[in-house]
Amino acid sequence: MMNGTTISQPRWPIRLDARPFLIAISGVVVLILTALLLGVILMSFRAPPAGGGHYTLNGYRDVFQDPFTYKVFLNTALFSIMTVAVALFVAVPLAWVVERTDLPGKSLVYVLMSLGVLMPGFLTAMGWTFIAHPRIGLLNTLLMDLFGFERGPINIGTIPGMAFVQGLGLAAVSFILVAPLYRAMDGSLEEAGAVHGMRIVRRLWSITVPLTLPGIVAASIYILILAMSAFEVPAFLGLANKIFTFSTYIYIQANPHEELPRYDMMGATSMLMIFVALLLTWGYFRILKASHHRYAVVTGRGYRPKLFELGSRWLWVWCFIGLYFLLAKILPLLLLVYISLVPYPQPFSLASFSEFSLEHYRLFLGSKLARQAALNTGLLVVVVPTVCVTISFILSWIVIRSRVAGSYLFDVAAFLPHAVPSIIFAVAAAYVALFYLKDLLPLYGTIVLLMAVYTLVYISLATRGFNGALLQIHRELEEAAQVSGLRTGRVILSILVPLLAPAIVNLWLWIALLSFRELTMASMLVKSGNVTLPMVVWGYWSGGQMSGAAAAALVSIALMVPLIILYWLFGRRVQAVSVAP
Amino acid sequence: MRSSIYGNRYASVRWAGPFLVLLSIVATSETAKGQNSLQELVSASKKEGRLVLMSGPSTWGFERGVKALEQAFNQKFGLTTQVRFVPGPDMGRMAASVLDEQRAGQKSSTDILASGLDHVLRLIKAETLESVPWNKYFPELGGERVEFGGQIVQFYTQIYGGLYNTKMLPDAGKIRRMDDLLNPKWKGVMAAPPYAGGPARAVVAVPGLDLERMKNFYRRYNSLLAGFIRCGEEERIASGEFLLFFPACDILSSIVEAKSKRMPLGGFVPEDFAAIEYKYWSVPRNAPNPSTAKLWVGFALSREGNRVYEQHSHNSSHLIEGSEASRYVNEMTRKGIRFTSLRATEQQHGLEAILQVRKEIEDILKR
Repeated sequence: MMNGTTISQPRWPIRLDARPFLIAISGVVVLILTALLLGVILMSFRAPPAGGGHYTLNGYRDVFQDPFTYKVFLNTALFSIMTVAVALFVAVPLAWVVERTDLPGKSLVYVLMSLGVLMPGFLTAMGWTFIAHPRIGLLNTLLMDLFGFERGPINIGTIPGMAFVQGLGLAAVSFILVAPLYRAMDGSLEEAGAVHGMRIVRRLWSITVPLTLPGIVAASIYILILAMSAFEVPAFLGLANKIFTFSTYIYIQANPHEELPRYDMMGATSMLMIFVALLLTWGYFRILKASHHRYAVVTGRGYRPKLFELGSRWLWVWCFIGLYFLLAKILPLLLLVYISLVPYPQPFSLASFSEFSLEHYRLFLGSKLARQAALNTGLLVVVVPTVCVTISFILSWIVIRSRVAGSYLFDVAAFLPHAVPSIIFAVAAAYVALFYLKDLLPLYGTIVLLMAVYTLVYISLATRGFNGALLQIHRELEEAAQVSGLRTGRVILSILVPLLAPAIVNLWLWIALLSFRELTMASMLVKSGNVTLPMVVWGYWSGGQMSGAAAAALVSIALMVPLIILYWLFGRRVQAVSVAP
Repeated sequence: MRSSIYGNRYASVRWAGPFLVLLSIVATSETAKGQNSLQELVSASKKEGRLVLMSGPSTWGFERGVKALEQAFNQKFGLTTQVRFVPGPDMGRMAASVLDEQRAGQKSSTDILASGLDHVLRLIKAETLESVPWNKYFPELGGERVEFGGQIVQFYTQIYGGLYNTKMLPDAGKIRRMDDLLNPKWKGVMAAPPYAGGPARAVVAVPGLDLERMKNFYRRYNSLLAGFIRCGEEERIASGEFLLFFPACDILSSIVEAKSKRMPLGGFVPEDFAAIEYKYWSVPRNAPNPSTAKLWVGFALSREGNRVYEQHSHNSSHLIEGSEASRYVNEMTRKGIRFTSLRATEQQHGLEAILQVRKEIEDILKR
C-alpha cells in the first residue's frame, strides 16, 4: 500500500531481475563517457591542427606559463561565485514559494521560467548593454538627465555586472534543480516546527534549508561550473570592457582569427576544469554520504506536502517575482522584439521607432534552411530528453539505491562531461566519429551524432536532478515492496517512477529546452545534413546581423511555446496525481 | 641475368620513338581539351547536380545571397544545380575540419572552402587543396588573383583601416595617421579586435612600419582602449556602444553594409597603415562535388556573377573593374594613399615571423 493505491502483483510470466540489466546499461554509458573523456585528454596533447598525428605538451605550456592565465582565473573565480550567489538568491526562495506555499498564479512562474531559458545569451547581454551601458544605457541616460552626471554611474561591463546578468539567466536552471526538492518535501516536518512555535524564517533556516541542502549544494556546483564556462555574457559584456574570463580567454587563444584552432590549449584548460570539478564532486559526495540518513524527506508515512499559507503576504512575494521577471525575462524579451524590428541595434529614439519593419521576420520565415533546421531541432527536442532522462534515471538509481560497490564512480563519470567545456567535448566526439567510428558507425555529420553528444552532456544535469530527488525518498518504501515480493524492476516502475513523475517531467522539459537552444556543440558538429535552429540564429549573429538574429530567435521561441503550454497543463496534472493522498 | 638487363634497355630504346609520337598526340589533344574544358566542367557539374557551401554566413551574403547566385548560375550554364548552404563556424575551424576530414579519408563538409591568408598557407602545406587551372576554364579571371598554381583564388579584397560613428564622433573622419588615434580625448570610446594578425602582417610587409614602432603604438593605444569587439560587429559602433574601431579587418564591406542599413558608419585608412589583404576560395581535394565547385567559383568571380555576389555579400575584389573595392582603392590612391598588397604567395616565407609579432602585440593587448 502506498498513498491509498494498491500495488498489483507482477503479471510477467518470467520474473526477471532488472538489476543486472540496469547495471549493464549504466556500465555501457559510463564506458562511452570515459572514452570521450579520454578523447578530451588526447586532444590536450595533440598538436594543432587536430588530427596532426603527433603529441606535445605545448598546449599545457602555452596555457600555464602565461602569467595572464592566472589573472583570468581570478576573474573567473570572482565572476562564477557572484553568479552562483545571484542565481541562488533568486532560485531558492522562488522554488520554495512556488512549491511550498499557496501563492496564487504560481503555475505562471514555470511558464515564464521555461520561456526565459530559450533566450539566446548574447541577445540578453546585448539587451543589458542598452539598459546599463555608461553612455547609451537607458537607465544611465535617465540618471544623467535627472542628476546631471557626466557619465552613467552604472556599468554593466564589470565583473559584478556580468555576474548579475549571468546569474539572472542561470537562476532558471537553478530553479529547475531546486524546485523538485521542495515539491517532494514532507510538510509535516515544517508543521512540527510551527507547532513548537518556530517562526517562518527560523523554520526555513532550521528545517527546510538543511533538508534540501544536498540538492542546493548539487545545484550550486552545477551552476558554478556553468558559470566558469559561460561564454556569451563574458564575450559580449566582458570583452567590451577588457575583462577576460576563462571561456573568453581560451576562445581568443584557441581560435586565433587568422590561425587554425588550438584544441590542445582548450584540452589543457579542460584538464584544469576537470580537476576543479573533481574537487567539487568530492565535496558533494561527502554531503551525499551523510545525506542517506539525514536528508530523506519522503517516507512511507503520509507523503502529503502541506502548503504554507501566505495570507496577504502573497503581494510582496509577487513583487519579488515580478521584479525578477522584469529584469531577467521581460526586459530582455522586449528588447529582443525591439531589436528585431529595427534595421540595426540602436538606442531608443523616435527616429528608431519610425524605422520599424518586419523585414527580418520575412527573411527568416521564407528561409528553406530555417525549415530544415526546424525539423532537425524538433527531432532533437523529442529524442534527446527521452533517452537522456531514461539513462540518467538508471544511473542515479545505481548510484543512490543499488549498493553496487564503487557506484559513486558512475556518478563521477556522469558528472564529468559537465566539467569539460562543451566545445572540446564536441570536438572530441567529432574526432572519434571521424577517425575511429567511420567504418563501424558512420555518425559523422548526422543528426544521430548530435543526439548522442547532447544526451551524454545533459546526463550530468539529469543525474543531479534525479540524485537529489531520489535522496528524498526514503528506502523504506522500496524495502517494504521488496519484502512483499516485488522485484527490482517492479519496485522502480510502481514506486519510484510515480513518486518521481514531477522530477521526470521537469527534467524532460528542461533537457528539451536545452537541446533546443544548444549552440556551442552544434557549431562543432553541424554539417549540411544536421543543421539546427540555433545555428541559423548564430549564423545571423556571427555575420553581424543582430536584428536578423533577434527575429530568428523570437520565431524560434514562438515555435517552442506549444511545448511549454503542454508542460504547463500536463506537468501540473502529473504533480497533482503524484502527490495525491 | 645480364642479357635480360640489356634486353630491357634495348626494349626501352625501341619504344622511345613511338612513345614520343604518342606523347605529341596526347599533348595536342590536351590543348584541344583545354579549349573545351569549360564545357566539360559544365557537363561534369550537371552529373553532380548539387553543391554544398558551408562557411561563415557573410561569406556568401547569407542564404539570400546563395539563392540569388544559384539562380544566376543555373541560368548561365543551363543547369538545375541544388545548392545547400549551411552556416558554419569561423574560417579557422572550417579549415581544421576539412583537414581532419581529408586525413580520415572522408569527403569534406564543404565543396568550397573560404579562408584567410594564414589558413590557406597551412592547408597548402598539408596538401589539402586541389590545383585548379582556373585561367584555362575562365580566362577573364586573370593571373593575379590565382596563387599557388591554382590552389587558391582571391575572392575579395580586405582593406585595413578604422571605422567610426559618423553621428557621435564625426572628428574621427580627420584621422590621417596611426598616431592620430592616440589623442587622449578618445579614451574610453575606442575598441580593437583582440587578435593582431593583420597588424603583424603589416609590420612585416608595409614600408616604414617596424615591430618597435607598432609595439609602441599598441602600448599607448591599449591604455586608451575601452574594450574588444570582433571584426564584423560594426553594428556595435553604429549603436554607440563604441564610437571608433581600429584596426578593422575590412572597412569597405562594413561601410557598404552600413549604407544599405542607413547606419551612421564611416571609415578611414591611415596612410602609414595602408594595406590590403585577400580572402581565398579553394576546392578541397576531397570535395564531394568538385566540378560544380570550380564552376561556381569561376562564375562568382566573373563580372556577371560577381555583380550578384557583391550585391548580397558586400565583398568585392579591387581587381574586378567597376567593383566597389576598385572604386574605393582608386579614390584612396588619388588621395595619396599607397596600399601594400599582402598576398599569400609573398607572405608564405615570413609566416613564423608574423606569428611571433602577432603574439607580442596580443600580449600588449592583454595587459
